[in-house]
Amino acid sequence: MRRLIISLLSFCITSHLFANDTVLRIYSATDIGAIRPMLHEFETLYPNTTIVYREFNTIELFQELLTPTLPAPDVVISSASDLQVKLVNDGFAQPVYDVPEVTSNQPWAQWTNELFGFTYEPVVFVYNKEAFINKPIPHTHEALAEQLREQADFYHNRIGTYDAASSGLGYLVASQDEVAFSLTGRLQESLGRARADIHCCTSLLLTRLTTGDLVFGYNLLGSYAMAKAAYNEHIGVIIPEDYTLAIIRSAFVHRNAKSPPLAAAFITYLRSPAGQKTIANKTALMPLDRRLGSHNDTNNQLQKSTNFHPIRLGPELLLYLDQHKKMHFLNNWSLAMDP
Amino acid sequence: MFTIKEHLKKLTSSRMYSLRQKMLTRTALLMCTVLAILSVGVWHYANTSADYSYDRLLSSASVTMLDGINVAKNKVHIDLPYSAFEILQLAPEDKVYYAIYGPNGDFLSGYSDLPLSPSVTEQASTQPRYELHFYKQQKVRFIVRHKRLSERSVAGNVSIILGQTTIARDEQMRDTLYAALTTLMAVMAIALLVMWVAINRALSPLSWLSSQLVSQSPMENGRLPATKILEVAPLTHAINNYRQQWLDALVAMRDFIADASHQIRTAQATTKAQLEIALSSKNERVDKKVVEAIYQDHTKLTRLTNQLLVHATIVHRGDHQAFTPIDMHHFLQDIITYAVRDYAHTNIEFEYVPASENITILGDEIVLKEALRNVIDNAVAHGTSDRSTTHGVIRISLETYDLDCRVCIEDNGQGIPENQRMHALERFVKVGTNTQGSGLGLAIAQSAALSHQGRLILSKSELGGLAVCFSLPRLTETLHASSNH
Repeated sequence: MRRLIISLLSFCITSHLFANDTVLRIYSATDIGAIRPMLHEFETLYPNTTIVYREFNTIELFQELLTPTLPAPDVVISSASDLQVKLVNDGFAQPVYDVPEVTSNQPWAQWTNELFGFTYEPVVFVYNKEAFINKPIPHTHEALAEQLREQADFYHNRIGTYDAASSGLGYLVASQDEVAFSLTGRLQESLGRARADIHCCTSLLLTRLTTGDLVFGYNLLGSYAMAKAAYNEHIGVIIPEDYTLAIIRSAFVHRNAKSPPLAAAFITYLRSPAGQKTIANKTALMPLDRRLGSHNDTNNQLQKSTNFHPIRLGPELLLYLDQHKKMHFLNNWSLAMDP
Repeated sequence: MFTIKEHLKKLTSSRMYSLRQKMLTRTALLMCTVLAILSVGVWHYANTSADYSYDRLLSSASVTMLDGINVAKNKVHIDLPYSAFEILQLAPEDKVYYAIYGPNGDFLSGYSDLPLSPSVTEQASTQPRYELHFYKQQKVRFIVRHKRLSERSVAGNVSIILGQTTIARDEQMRDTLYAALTTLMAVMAIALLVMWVAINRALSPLSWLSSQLVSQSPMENGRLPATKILEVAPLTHAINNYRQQWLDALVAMRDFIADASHQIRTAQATTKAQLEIALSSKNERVDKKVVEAIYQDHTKLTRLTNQLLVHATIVHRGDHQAFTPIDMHHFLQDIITYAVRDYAHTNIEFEYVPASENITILGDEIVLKEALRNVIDNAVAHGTSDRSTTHGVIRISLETYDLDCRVCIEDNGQGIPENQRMHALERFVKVGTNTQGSGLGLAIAQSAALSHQGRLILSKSELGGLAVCFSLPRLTETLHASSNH
């Protein structure tokens, strides 16, 4: 009994301590603009917490963790699930217990008790509305491949996609496309023949689509695209009907975290109903709890019965990180893109 | 420590204990031991079966991965198939590590810092090797498998080392273990329960018996109710038998006391009557004839009393017999010496026919002496009573048979007719014209013979009179030895 009281006391003391002046260091591959509302809400839930947020590109983040140049973070967030899985597999994370399930039937949104997904972001097509006036818009991968073949002139130099070679997320999406869809190779060749514009980031592609430099964007991150499309009448978002990959943005507590309880609390918050609601209503991201939808999803496309194909957090993502596998894939991809 | 010692003391002390409790405790202890032994076995089994099932995952995944290793453009070409990792997904929580080594042991892909590496000497045909290592602070089970590449450009073994953490494996092991242990414990509990019921059931005849015995008086001639339990039947039978013997002895005693008191009272009444007649006579002097009659009656009474006491002694000495080896030759010589001295005043001739060898029997000297004397007295009394003119002969002989010896006392008197011989053995029965005897002599002899596991045989003597033979079991050498021991 006495021991229990003592341990309770010590718990109170530590919670008091970190409530006083604790720094939560988050290294993330997410736009600060997209995640800011959540950071604010977390600070109100845990007053006197100072959040240090540092934004990286997915590969930079991965490299930073492998060969640290900065102090170790408490929480690592990235949408490049394969790199996240690799980091966890290699022992960069520490387990967190009692993190709530967002909804049942989503076992793919968590790996062991170390890596936790908290968003569900579809990979979409984006098109320039003016360019497609009086033209059929491709709603499936197959239709796109067909149009690329049949209207090669229309798409020539006017279609853009992620750079699989320089962007972690781009590589993940391209490789998972290959797993999910058997005709990916052909589609890639078509993209190559159309001299597709290759970019590192969704934001750049979106800008070029808005201006009309590009008429079609293939495999763009749905969260950013929808956020942009909600306020921009020039572009439209298509959630492919045959299958739509969904990226799970995930977070883990770094093994060298300064304050693991606070880091765990942040991850718990991300997956809590409050956190999910904030994601749905105030950010450009899309919540893992799909019943909440997203305020950017003006046409309620997320609620459609599309064949969503969430990229499962699990060791199979390690496959495409194999040196040889990656080399082969990128070789083929470059060959297809640059015939 | 102290309490344990005390407890042990309690256990070892000779005070009363409950059989039921003891049996239950011992059974429980035994079962706990069995459970402990079985638990070790179950633990081993759970480990083996978990290893077996998850090793198969590793094995098939590694085979699939080797499928993706080929030779292309004169180089080892690695294109790992997605299915390999999907197989490993069957243990969804587990982390995966692998490394691929080329024909010369050169590292090709995967994790270069695994705690094991393929040995060059290993052949592709050999069975895959499984090893458990600590890697990145966790238990990881590794498989090492080889594949022979035999192109002209690349010849030799490529090896794959594939490892998986043991979360799912350990969980399955625990599941199996707990399931098996739960079953075991349930079985043990049921077995204990059954034991408890069985012990109660087995002990129930005991309480039934005691309740039956308590409710009956030992003096009553009631038998215990028949039981259908085979194991209990001998016990009730024995109790009934035992009780019957006591009751028989009691009846015999009662009869004897009744007979004896009747005989003694009759004799006393006769004496008293004679005395009264003598007192009521007007003569101041007592007639000598009357005194003689009184003397005769008194002698009879004395003899009767003595005989009764001897008889009682013989019969009841049987309860605590003090048998000793008796050398019959010396014993009979003593008896004859006394008899000759006692009857020196009569003209009776004693003959002794000894046996050809030494004979020893196990017996009670006092009882036998009493019995033989009575038979000799009888012989003296009857063998000569009506032939006062000729002198009587009493022959005492000792013969041996295989297992028995026979002591015979013969006289040359009238004897007893064959049809009355059995009758003569009964108490207070006087045969023929005899009026002097108490009717106890032969009864005493009979009792003595029976108490020595022998017989009393009445027959006609060569001398013309009665032959009374004691047939008694001999003490053989082995018996002798054991009795000495």
